[in-house]
Amino acid sequence: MNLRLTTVGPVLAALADEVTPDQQNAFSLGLCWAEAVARKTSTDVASAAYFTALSAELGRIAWIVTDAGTDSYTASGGVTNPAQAVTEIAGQYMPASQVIPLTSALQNIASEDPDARLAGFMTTWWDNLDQSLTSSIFATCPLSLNRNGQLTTTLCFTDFSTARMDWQSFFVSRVTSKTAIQVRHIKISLNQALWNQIEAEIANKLGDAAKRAIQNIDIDL
Amino acid sequence: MPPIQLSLAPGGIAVGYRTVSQDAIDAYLYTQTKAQMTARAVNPDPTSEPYYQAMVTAMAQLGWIEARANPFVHAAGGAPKTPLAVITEALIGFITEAIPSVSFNSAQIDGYLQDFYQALETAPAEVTANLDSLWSNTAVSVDTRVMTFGPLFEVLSAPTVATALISLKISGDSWRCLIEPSSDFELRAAPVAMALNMATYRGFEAGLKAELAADLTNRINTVDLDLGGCRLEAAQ
Repeated sequence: MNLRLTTVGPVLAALADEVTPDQQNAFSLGLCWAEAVARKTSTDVASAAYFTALSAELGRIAWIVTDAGTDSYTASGGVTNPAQAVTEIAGQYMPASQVIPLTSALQNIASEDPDARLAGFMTTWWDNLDQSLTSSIFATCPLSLNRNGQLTTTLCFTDFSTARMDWQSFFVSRVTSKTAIQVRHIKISLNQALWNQIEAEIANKLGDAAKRAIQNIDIDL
Repeated sequence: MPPIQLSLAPGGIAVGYRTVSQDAIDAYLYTQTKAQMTARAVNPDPTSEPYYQAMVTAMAQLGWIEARANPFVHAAGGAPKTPLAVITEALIGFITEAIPSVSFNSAQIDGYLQDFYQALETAPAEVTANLDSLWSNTAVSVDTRVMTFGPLFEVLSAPTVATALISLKISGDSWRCLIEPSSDFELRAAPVAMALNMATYRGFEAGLKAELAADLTNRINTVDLDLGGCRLEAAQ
């Protein structure tokens, strides 16, 4: 089984098998661009202002919004497993084709002995997230193709309102008295023909910054 | 393999015929891109009422015809039918009546239903698992659910989006209630349909694509970026 992951800024993307390298690149560049625009509004990735600006910019660069919202949950006292919580909550907003790669990725990340390459990948991503954040915000973005062959994803920013910790600690189960969880989500599909017309210009303006912000991993487990 | 693909929209079920042409898909994509651009200028939040109203207005200006119907009610009693058949027949009947360019005959409706049943019966485990979740999440009381139901499909070469907000009063702990004949359920539906007038679209298609590309190029060249977040450094 292949585990395909991409990180772009605060977002961890899990890719379904049918997503091609060109589509993966389209997603990565587009998200990198949108994040760079959103940061001009706010650098707090946990904020509504950042998410709205990010969503709006994705909509400008050939992604079509088909659903969006913000929901709050409270996990009552007991054992909290962030990976499971993200899958269960985010899975309510996603079609089955997106839930599968997301669940698989998070299960591997949360396993007792993850692949060394995966561990290195996660450490690089997690450690480069904004250390000034006081809450653990976790952004997931499973990529798949919809019934019309369009690249589609549901971007979920899940804020656990817990203190920042290393990713290994964050993903293990632990006992808590209460956990407040807020999810901002948006479902988008790519207008590939329009993206093809602007891709080169976006890549050119991002320059090396794009390469610095994006990392990929493809592991045969 | 049935010609229908199922996907779950939040709070509901979306159905699409695989035979939707690339031409129809492109028309849908480009008009949606333009409509959303217009709506964002009114309010950048796609969950807001001003955004929604601006979208509906913009879509109408881009050749989409909207039609609404009075709520449809199916009372308990009578010959057993599946809730899915009631929903589908109501939705198709409404589209046929409200949008003159669209017409279905009974054989087409029966065929559509059979395709839908087959798609549900042969759905892979991950889809049925999500249907279980949908059934649970749409419950507003012990015996009442509220969900949306609607397809994007091509009718007479015109992309058509028809949705209905369904309130279903039925006893059952599984989504399979939707495909099991019964006389003991009550259903209320508020259908809304939008169909793209392709003749109108053809008149501005080339101009729309050129406008969108030019708008984007201008934005890319003028917008400011904060590249401060792009600083991945390899783990030590």
